[in-house]
Amino acid sequence: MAHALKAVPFILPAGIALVAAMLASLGFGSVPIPIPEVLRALLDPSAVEPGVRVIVRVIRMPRMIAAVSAGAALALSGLQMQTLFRNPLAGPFTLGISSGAGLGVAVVVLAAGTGGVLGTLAEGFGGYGPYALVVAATAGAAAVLLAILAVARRMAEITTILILGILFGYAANAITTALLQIAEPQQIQSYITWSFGSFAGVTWTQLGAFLPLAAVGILLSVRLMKPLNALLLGERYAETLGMSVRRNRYAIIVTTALLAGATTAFCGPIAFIGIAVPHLCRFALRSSDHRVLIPACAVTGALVAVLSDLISRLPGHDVTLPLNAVTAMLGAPVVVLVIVRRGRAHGRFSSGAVR
Amino acid sequence: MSVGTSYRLDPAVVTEELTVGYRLGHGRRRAVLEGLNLELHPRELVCVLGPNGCGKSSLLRTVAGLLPALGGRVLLGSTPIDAFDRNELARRLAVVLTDRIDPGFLTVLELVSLGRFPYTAWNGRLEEPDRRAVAEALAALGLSEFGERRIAELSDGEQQKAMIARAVAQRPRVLVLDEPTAYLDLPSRVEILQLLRERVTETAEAVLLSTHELELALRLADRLWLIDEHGGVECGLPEELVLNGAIGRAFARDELQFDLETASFRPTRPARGTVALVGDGIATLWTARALERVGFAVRVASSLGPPHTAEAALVEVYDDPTTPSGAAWRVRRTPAEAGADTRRVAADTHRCATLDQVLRTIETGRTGPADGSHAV
Repeated sequence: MAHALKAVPFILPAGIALVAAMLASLGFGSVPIPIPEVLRALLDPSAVEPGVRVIVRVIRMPRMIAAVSAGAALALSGLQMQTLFRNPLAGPFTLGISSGAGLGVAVVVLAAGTGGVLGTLAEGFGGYGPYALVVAATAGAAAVLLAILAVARRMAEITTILILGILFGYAANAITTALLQIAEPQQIQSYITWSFGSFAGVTWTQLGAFLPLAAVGILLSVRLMKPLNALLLGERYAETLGMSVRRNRYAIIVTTALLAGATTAFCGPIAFIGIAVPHLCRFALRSSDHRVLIPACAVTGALVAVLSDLISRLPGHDVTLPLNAVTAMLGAPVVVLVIVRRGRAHGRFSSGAVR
Repeated sequence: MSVGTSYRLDPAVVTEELTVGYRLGHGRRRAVLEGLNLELHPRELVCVLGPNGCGKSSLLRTVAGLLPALGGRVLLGSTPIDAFDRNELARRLAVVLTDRIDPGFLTVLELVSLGRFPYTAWNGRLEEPDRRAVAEALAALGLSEFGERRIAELSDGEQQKAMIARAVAQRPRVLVLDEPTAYLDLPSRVEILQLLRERVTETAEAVLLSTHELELALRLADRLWLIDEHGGVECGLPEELVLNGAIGRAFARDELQFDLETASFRPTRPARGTVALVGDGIATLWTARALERVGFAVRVASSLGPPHTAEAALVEVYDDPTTPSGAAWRVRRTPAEAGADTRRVAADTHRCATLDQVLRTIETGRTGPADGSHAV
């Protein structure tokens, strides 16, 4: 319990900030709605004008909920990848999940309107409309995941899996690039829009699929906190502590793929949140203990995602920024900070030990 | 059970015709050590000794269940090691590897608490017995005050103690450590081996460790598993293995020989000559070392001993409170003189107040006053 208490001074303010950001996210936009009005629309819908009700409850709320779930999901999957691979630059997409999803989307975007089986399939999902993209991204991410699991099954060194994951990602990207080369400008445009990442297109119906997936992924992450802590000592030590390396490696990869894959399918490949938030939490809490990092990452990831979405809407302007541009601007400094501090820590280490 | 072994408990670990090695894939295998029948008893500290690359680590990893045996089997108590599931095994056997960990923000307490992994529930929460085991492990390694310190801030010796405390917190019956003293300075090496030594006498644990610290192992180990260059393993009391020459053989090199008296290895090179050394006490011991270092064979005779052979050079050591070392030397005959005139013993004894002067006199080859300054 002492561990849970240690996280309170961090998680409590972060939680309050998250609630504030969520409310702000419902109020800000092209039609600003004052917060009291937002609250009324939430608590007593009949008391507000229908227009306000629709904007808050139908347009902005799914978007806000998508941001909260996606942020938490990405931060948790990034945390697990960094621990599993013992690599600070690992993230949700290290295993090529987003590249696989991107390939799936590129295929559907190209196939739409070209006839053939895939084209018919894509048309069936409403052209390259939201459902076709979700299904395509899921299929692509799942294909990469299966390839990774096939490798992990052979009990290879964990570094080998990392390298293969990165290479799978490159391969998927290469095919995507080749496909885009022969695509029509309009098709390229819809691929690029997807690749910017956005919470805007997520509807209540889609949330019906996305939220359960994210919830399962988050629950699995919580179940994994003990083996994740053992993995801090490396796989060999974890094994001597009684942990099944193979089973937990599977569990972590599948959980990560579920979280990152579902998020990418519904919101596009959102960069940096998954890499930066775990570092942010580690440094804020000065802890490597997953029993505090998992709740902290979930809350902070959600907060950063909602804030990024708010900033991308540029309150007071008509233009919107691509979500990925905002997350990169927020996330890159955190990653730089981590690299600089690690460099310093390692300098101290090597001078202290002769080997 | 014979009288001689009646004090022993049942073995903690037994290997039966164990073959240690690696599977190379495609059905090919490379055996490192074969046909091992070894025993490790509770309350015993056993050191695995052997030259580099002889298979020490592979043997330890096989005993710890991390490397599957190529043949034969390892029994833990009376149960084959592969009959335990991982968790059961982790409650009986703890391991300290040579792997370096990247400790991040881990504290000593968090690290040692990980030793309770095989006992805690899914969320890893420590219950009362777990907390007690962690506190005792910290105390056993002298780390009680270090609980909140971060691993990254500790010295190498303290980090290693924390890793051992983590293994001790597992409450194992067998503790296996692969070169626990590598990378450490001499005081830390002695301290860690001493701590492990006390550990086996205080608990019923058995400790198996590999090391290159031959002298420390000879002093501290209850038993040695000695691996020679050809993959043979001898098991026995350290003193026994010294006396029967097994230690000397295991580490035999053309350029090294094992010195039975000092339990250490010294270079074998053709001696530049023999020096008879007359004297006793510490100063004589270190004089002998200095002379050996520069390449002489030394024969020590007590001052009351028989007359020294005339073919040897002759140095006397005697107490002299006026010098910083409390001793002074007389070089009665240098190697050169001993070769030239075997009967000559310098009448005007050449007094030296420091060892440095002794060596210089020996090198210049004359006992006569070199510059007059230290002739008596």
